[in-house]
This record gives sequence, structure tokens and C-alpha cells, in this order.
Amino acid sequence: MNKKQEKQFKGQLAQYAAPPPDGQKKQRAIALAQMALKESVVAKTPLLSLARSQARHVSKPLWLLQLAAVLATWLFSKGFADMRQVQSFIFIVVPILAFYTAPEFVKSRIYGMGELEMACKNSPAKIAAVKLLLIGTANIAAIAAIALILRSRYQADFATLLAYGFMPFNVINCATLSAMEIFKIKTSYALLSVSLIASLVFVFGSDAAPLLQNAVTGCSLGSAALLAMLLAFSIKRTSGRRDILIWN
Amino acid sequence: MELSLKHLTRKYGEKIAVDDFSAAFAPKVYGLLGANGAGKTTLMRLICDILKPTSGSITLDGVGISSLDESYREKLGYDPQRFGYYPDFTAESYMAYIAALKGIGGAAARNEARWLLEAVGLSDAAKRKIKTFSGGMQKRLGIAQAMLGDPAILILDEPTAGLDPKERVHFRNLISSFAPGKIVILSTHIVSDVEYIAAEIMMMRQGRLIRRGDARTITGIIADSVWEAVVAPDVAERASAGMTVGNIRHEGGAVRLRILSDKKPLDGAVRVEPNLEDLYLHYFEEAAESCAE
Repeated sequence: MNKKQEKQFKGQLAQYAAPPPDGQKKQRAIALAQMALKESVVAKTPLLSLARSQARHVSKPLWLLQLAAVLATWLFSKGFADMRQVQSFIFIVVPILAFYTAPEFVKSRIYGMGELEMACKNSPAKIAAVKLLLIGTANIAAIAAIALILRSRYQADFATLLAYGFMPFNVINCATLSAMEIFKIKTSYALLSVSLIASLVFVFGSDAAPLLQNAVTGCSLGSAALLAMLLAFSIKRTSGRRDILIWN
Repeated sequence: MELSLKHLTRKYGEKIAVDDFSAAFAPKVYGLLGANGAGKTTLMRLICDILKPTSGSITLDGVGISSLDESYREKLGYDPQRFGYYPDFTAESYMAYIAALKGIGGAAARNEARWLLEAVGLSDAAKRKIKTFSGGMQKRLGIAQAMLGDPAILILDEPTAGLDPKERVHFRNLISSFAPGKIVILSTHIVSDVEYIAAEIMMMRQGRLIRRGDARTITGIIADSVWEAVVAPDVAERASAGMTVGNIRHEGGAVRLRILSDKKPLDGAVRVEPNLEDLYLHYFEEAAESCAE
């Protein structure tokens, strides 16, 4: 409705004197309107809108670390003599993007938001799956970008570079999630420390990377399978609602 | 709308937190009163479908809440006892996050969040990080998020813990204006919270529902057992060691005692109208003693 139509509409309405409203009828009208409003609400939240809202609440460091890892690859992956050095470099750069992944995924448990999140409309399992989709996509995109940069500079096989990238990523996440379950980690600092240690093991152990050269496919697949199992376990725990059984 | 709990039991190993609890809730304000460890929080979690009962059932209008799933939680507002938040959250982003989890989006979420933050007196602190909030402010934010989406069932676990008297009054007024047409269940061990706003009071002890009704009805059981006496300080000292004394007030050189006793406890004692605090003392004296120990 434009301004002119609005004015015309208001003018027409002003021609009639409205009788004073009956209090009871007014309340009934309000109640009926509220009911109609409630019934008109879509019961299921569309996946896209859920993903968009969740993306807004993923910690900024996680996004920044993905960018940092790609940027570091772009800036510092020059002049390697052979594939061994490329591989070592991947083992240094991938832990940067992996460092914040597992802590971000399980942060509701660490910060005591789990109980409240479980009582909200969208189930914890649904939220966890959306988070996994978002964070996983960002991680895969960053690793793929790293592999593409290295491929363009060293003519290496893209799939092999991806496999080199996924191995440290999977292992760091496995280590962090396992430590959380085994040692019942409940603080963010402890969890980030575990993730940091796992990342540093790869950074400082990057010289040993060639040892895995021949077994890289097997190691990647194995670590991916292990990570998938751990994530499934983590989601199951969340949806199984066992993490907050606190005797009051 | 009727929320019905039938023979609800929840065990943690050998411990029974909620024991054969049956009750029906219609739209009004309920105050769940009990000592620490009475099973209130477990009951709240069961009602919110966060915990599964060991046995028994919870239904909304005859349908099990677990099978209602999202359509049940859509009607639910919950303020847990422990307030959790992510460290980077401001009050505003916290409300936006909860709104997203509740499936409320866009301008509706922003407007409602703004209105609720104003209602709990946090509009000036909307852009401040929650970690800088006092306990009372965090509690108020917890109440505001629970009311997001105008839920038909509002569950508040110890909502007034940490609030100062002025904030308490404000909270009571807020709940009273929100409550019409809704089921509001608030658990507390602070008697005055429920005395003012709850239309019906439920008392829990060791996981069981021991009494329910309005304040006048449920205090009827101790109608003849509450006394007041003004005595000398030494008598007051002896009395408080051997009797159930609800209140001690010094008045000049004398002491006014409020005593729970089936028979006249002291010479000059007069029978007075019981209140909820007396009833609480009557039921939870043992619990209070064990807490004190």
C-alpha cells in the first residue's frame, strides 16, 4: 500500500464512528488472534534457515583459522624441493584449521548450554548435525583450497594432497574428542589444550611425515572412519541426553 | 490444555529422585516447593523432556510429550537452574541464539528479544558481554530467554535465586502479567516467591508430592499448631534449643518467638494463623537440619 492509498484508506475509515469496544469481545478477539497466529507458525524450522542461524553463532576464531591456514599456504608454500617437504608443510598447516574444530563442536557441553538447548524446539541432534555440516564444509573447503594451491605449485596429485590434509585433521579431532570422553573434560581451557597438544604433535612431528607416505591412503581412511565413529558417538550422547544427568 | 504426569519415577542408579509423582497441570501458576535435593530439578527436567522417566508418563492433552517432540518443545519455555552461556555472547546475541533454537527468526525474534530485555530491565545492557553481568542480571536474562516465543508452558527452576528484593518484586509482576492462559511452574525453596504469585502450591519431599493446593488450604494441616510468645531472653534460648522455632525477634528486652507445636508450648503463648513458611518448616525441618549439619 502506497502513501496515497493509505491516506485514502484512513479517510474512508474515519467516516464511520467506531463504537466503544466491548472489553470481553476485545479479549476474545485477542485470544483468537493469538491462536490463529500460533496455528499459522510452521512447525518445522526449514533446514536452510536453521543452518543460517547456526552459522551466525559459530565462533569467529573457527572461521578465522580456516582463512589463516589457507593464507599461510598461499604465503609460505613456496620453494619446496620435493613432495616430502610439501607433505611436511601440510602436517604443519592443517593443524591450524583443525585446532578449533572439536572444541567448537562440543562447546554446548563445555559451557553448560546443553540443558537449555535440549529444551528448545530444534532438537540437539538436529542442531549437532547442522553444526557438523557447517563446520565440516568449512574444514573440507579449507583443506581443498590448501590442496589446490599446492597442486598448482607442485603439480602433485590432488587426491593425494587431500588425503595428506585429512589425516592430521582427523587424528587431531579424534584425539580431542577421545580425550574429552576419557578424561571427562569439562572446561574450555582443558579441551583447547588437548586440541593444541594434538596439533603441536603434528607440527613438530612433521619431519616424520614421509614415514606415512606409503600408508597415507590407509591412514586417511582409517582416521576418517574413527572420526566418523567418534562424531556419531558424540551426537548419540547429545541426543541420548546422558551428559547432564546431575544428581541435584 | 492439560499437562499430565502419571506415576512418574526417575532413578539414578539406586537413588530415587522422583518417586511416583502424579499431578495434572492446567493453565495457572504453580509453585513447586521443596528443600534442596527434594527432586524439583529432576522433575523440571522430566517435564522439559530433557530426561526420560524410569517409569510413568507425561502427556500434553493426552499425547506423550516424547512423541510430540518438536511440537511440544515449541510450546515450552525453560529457565534452568544453572545459567550457561558462550563467552562471546552479549545479552542481545544470546537472545538471538535462543530464538534461533526455538525456530523464531528475523524481525519477530529481534522485536521480541528487545521487548523482553526491556521487561527484565536489561535493555541498557543488551550489547554488553554476559560474562560482565552480575548473578542477578544473568538470572533475569535466563527468565527473558525462557519467555521468548510466548510459550504456553513456562518452567522456571529457582528463578529468583540471586535476585535482590526489588528484582524479586519485578519478577513476580512479570510472571503474573505473562501467566494468563499458560501453565507456569516455578520451583523454589524460597517460600515468599510462591506465596505471592502461585495459584497452587505443590510440596515435594524425597521425590514425592506430599501436598498440593492453595496457600490457605495446604496450611490448614497446621492450623492449630502455630504459636507466638513473648518471653525473656533466657527462656527464648531454652525454647529454641528444644522446640521448632520458626522466627525469633528481639523486642526491647524481650524476645518474640514463633513456635510450631501441637500443644501450647509456653505460658502466655497464643495461637496464630499459619503461613507457608510455617508449613515449610513443619515438613522440611529434618532436611533443614541435615543441610545445616
